[in-house]
Amino acid sequence: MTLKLHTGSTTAAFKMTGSIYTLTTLELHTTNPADITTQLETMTRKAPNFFQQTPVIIALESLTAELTTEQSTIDLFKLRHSLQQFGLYLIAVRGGQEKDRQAAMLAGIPWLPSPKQQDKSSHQDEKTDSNVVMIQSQTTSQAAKCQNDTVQQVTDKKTTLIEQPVRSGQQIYAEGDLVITSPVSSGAELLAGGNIHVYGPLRGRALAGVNGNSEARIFCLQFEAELISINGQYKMLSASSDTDNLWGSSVIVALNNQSLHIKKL
Amino acid sequence: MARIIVVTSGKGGVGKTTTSASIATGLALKGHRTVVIDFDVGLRNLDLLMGCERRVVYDFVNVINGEAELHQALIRDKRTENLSILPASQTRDKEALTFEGVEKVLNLLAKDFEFIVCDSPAGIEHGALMALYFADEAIITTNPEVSSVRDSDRILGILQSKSRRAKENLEPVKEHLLVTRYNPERVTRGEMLNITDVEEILAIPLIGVIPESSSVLKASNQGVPVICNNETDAGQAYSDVVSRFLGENLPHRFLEANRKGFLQRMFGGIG
Ligand SMILES: Nc1ncnc2c1ncn2[C@@H]1O[C@H](COP(=O)(O)OP(=O)(O)OP(=O)(O)O)[C@@H](O)[C@H]1O
Ligand SMILES: [Mg+2]
Repeated sequence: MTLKLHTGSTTAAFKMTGSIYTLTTLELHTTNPADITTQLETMTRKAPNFFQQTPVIIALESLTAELTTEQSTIDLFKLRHSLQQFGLYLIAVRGGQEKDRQAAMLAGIPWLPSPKQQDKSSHQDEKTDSNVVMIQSQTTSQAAKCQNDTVQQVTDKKTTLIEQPVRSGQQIYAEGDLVITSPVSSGAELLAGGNIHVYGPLRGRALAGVNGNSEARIFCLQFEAELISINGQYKMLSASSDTDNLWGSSVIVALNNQSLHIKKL
Repeated sequence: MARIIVVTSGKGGVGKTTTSASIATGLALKGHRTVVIDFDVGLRNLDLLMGCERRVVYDFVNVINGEAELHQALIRDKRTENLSILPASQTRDKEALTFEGVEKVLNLLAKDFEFIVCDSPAGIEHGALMALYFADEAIITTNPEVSSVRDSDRILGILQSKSRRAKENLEPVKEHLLVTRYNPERVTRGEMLNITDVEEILAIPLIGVIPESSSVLKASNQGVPVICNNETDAGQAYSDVVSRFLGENLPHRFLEANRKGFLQRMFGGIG
């Protein structure tokens, strides 16, 4: 007898809620599978565990017209397979041309429209730096207000103040600036459209300027972050990395010329 | 008003059940009417540690389902006055615990007891959520190692966002840090985190440190909560925790490696 007992009289089979997730986006600058694989190999060599079961979106907006001619269409089946070998799970294709949308459909992969066609020029710039993985928050307009308790969505564009500790597994999203007056644990994640200030130890991840703001900065009193990112440019860190003289001190992080600069305050 | 205390950790095997048994016994020894509930449905352990496994007839889930009255399921402790145990079922899964059911039982218990101690299962899923949902206070049981500290941090986040007190915007659950299985020698050798590290990361007040001790396993094999053996280090450490919980201000003990033994061996007889 394996009858399940419900004390409530009616139990819905499911509840539908909207959620906002931060997803890793790979902006392809080439359709050549070998080039993509090579870069993934380089990245996972540095941080073998970074991509364990990470869902990714591939974005096609940065591919220039001559790269997407008929003969050089990306083979989504192949790409999906090679991503998986690195622990990346392809969950959607974004942007591109009509034929890309159809290819995605054929491969059974959801297709998403490009977000507000961001200023083309910045994408052009990124082509010069081929080591960029864009991490962007997918705040699609359809996404309903988030119901998940571990994600506190705050809509005040100006400043969001959080006074309790941000614990492992918690995520805070603020559309404007985010100010935290308590410790941020490793395994916690801060996302802000604007600046992030942490008046305490920052041990988790901090992603500032997530909606395309390169001017955003990260400030903290005790720098022990796992990852920092400004407008998609990210850096993974540990006590023994090249930033070790900054480890534990008060720092400011800014984005200059497509690279992150960490300075003592 | 009864105070509901959850003993929780996230990580498994850190000493939650050992702690629940000793703290509940300690509170009862101090004259407070106390009940300890096993929320680890499917893996009941608490009755073994309390030495009453042979007396289990009905359990927590039976009461929730209306298959037994609360008084039929409650087991009065033979050793300690003022103490009762509400055992878990071994034949069900954790889904058998429902919000309404747990609330109903807690409300009934609150009429007869001053303290309700909830022994949480490991993990952050349904069973653990049920155990912490109604809590007024939480004893965050943590071993001095990175993975356990990380899981405790996770549980603290859940207490802040998913407990009844959080949902109803009441005063937050009062959090206490209990470091268990603390081994000063291994800390000195750098194999374990020290108390300051753990306190710094979790940023909640420390209520006690229980040393790693062979007396714990011995006591659990005998079905006697270790707090009853007041000549043991772990027993004394648990007694201190209970006193602090009740408001006493005691210094922490058993933090230093016991160098005396070594020195005595070296200089035995002199002085
Ligand atoms: N202070 C201690 N010194 C030595 N051993 C200990 C100590 N505390 C607990 N143990 C041992 O650790 C093991 C796990 O303890 P316990 O069952 O209390 O943990 P738990 O957190 O309830 O586990 P679970 O997550 O499985 O419910 C037992 O074998 C117990 O004897
Ligand atoms: Mg247990």
